Amino acid sequence: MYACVYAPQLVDPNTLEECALSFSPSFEKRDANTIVFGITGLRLLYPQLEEIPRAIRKHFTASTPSVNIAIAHSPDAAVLVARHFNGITIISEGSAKALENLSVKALTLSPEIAEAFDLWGIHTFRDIAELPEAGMVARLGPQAVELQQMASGLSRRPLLIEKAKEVFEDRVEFDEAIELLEPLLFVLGRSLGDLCQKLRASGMAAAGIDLKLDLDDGSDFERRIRFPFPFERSRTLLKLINLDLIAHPPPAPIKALALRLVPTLPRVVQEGLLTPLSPEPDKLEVTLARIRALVGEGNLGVPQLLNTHRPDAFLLQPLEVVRGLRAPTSISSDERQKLAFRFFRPALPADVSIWLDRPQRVSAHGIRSKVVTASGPWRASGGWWTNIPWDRDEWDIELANGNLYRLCREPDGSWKIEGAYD
Amino acid sequence: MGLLAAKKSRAEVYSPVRPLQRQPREFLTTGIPSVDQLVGGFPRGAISEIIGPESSGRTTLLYRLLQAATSNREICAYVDLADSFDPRTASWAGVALSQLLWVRCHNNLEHALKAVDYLLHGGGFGVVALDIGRRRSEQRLASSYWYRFRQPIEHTSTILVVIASETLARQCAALRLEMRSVRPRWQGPSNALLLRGARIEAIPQKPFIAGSTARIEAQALTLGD
Repeated sequence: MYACVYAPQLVDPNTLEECALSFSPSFEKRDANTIVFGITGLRLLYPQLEEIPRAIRKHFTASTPSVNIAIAHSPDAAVLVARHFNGITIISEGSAKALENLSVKALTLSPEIAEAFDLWGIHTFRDIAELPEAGMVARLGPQAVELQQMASGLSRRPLLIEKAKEVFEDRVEFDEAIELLEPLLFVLGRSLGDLCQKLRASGMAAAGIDLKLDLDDGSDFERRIRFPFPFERSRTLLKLINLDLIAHPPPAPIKALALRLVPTLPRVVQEGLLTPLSPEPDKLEVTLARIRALVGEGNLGVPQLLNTHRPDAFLLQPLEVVRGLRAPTSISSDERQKLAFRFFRPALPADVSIWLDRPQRVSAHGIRSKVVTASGPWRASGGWWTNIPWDRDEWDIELANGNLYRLCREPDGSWKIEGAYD
Repeated sequence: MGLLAAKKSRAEVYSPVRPLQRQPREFLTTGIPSVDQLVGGFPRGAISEIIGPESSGRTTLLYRLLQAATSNREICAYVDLADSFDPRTASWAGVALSQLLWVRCHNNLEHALKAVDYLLHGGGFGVVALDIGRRRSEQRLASSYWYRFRQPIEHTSTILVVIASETLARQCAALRLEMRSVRPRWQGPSNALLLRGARIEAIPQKPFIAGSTARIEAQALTLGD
């Protein structure tokens, strides 16, 4: 059984939801003035069915005089009755009589179907209920069955439940300000344990953590940590917070903490027998956080080439591991081996002796030799329309010991060894 | 019971000092026929070394290995002590950059070793490359590191590859290839020469195969590529 409350002159928009939640944990809100919820379980509290709408009516004060309450066997029938019958109405299962005089305009019809009903002279629910089902489906499509069931009060569908947005937050205030990480992590561990339990009970996982610390000097310290893969284990989350706070320690003792988990749906992956080796997401995230704390934020990631000819142009992006069955990476059909290059970062300043416009001898840190072969100069320039223009002459040189380097002459005449072929 | 039967029953008794039966290793082939025919590829679950001086072709061979692993949809890591990795030539060599984690250590050896330790203990990587490059004080590396690195990958598919100018892992390495200096190939008239490529030689030191050398012809990146 379902109850529908229709209050056209509602002042407070939350009144309907509060009313529904006091009778049922789940409800369907059709619009700002209409709400439907299940009342089957209420029969133990209210043995007489008539008592239920009366109890619902008590939730509305005298300031909302026109409240229609309908009890029916289907949500759609309850909504139709509540919208078109004043006061309290109870209709029994399959009772088409209660609805038969309603106009077809009470249904949400597409313009084509409304036009067809008008042409056929169909004006009431009774007219729709009396039409042959097969003929209606042939002419109007599968939607006709649904319309006929609604008109007969026979429609059967579950509630489209709108769950209240759950918040996974915790706040802890300390009697005395905390200076060390260890006691802070102890408190964080307990909070995370409770929040993760709540998260799992809701069938969710954490996509990130927002941590706000109230410091002793009156300032706030905030950390926003986001994960490429949702996690639900409190130990993993605690380790990630631990590593983040090691890398970014708060500047003053901590008076209070506020923790918020960003909920998301957990990612379930079906592994295949032939799935190639890849790191476990939670282990990988902890490993990356450890290395990030070690080498620094900008020194870890996946290199991405930029669409420019500027030498050594790349970006570092976060590593995203796609688990499960992945499409094979396209393998280069070119089977020839490619000579690799190694950058010297920063490039080595060099003294170069020139003879007939060609490098004859090179001297730099750890490199001092005669140039045997030199290829160049190859002019490289670009980006003159941006803030980072480049302009230089490049040489490929072979030294007497057989080493191959790339030598560059900057516009100011200085020489640098950019790297080695290896 | 005869003497022979008694000896046999004694041999079947478990002994804690009996050497463990080693499983035959899996190998990741590089796709370079001369190298694969010589050593069968890089052994999984073990440490491999590519050693040689600068410009000997060590990085060329490593990129080829990374290309083979990433085309197999494996996630790889490049721990770069000297910050010398060139994404452009790696991509040109076929390495899928989206599957390669690059750790830049800015000449901090301790950071590089710790990063390798974290990656190996985290698990799940196909190839972890430690590029020590042209560091001069590499001899100061404690040998205990290599025992520590060998242990977590021993029964996995992970390959730890070390690039250095001389051997560091010593007895902990299952494969050691020594690279010989590149013989560059130039093209064009003497006043407009162009670097077209180089010939690289790889000599297996471990397992030692007397008189055998793998020759690799490598092509240089030019404007047309």
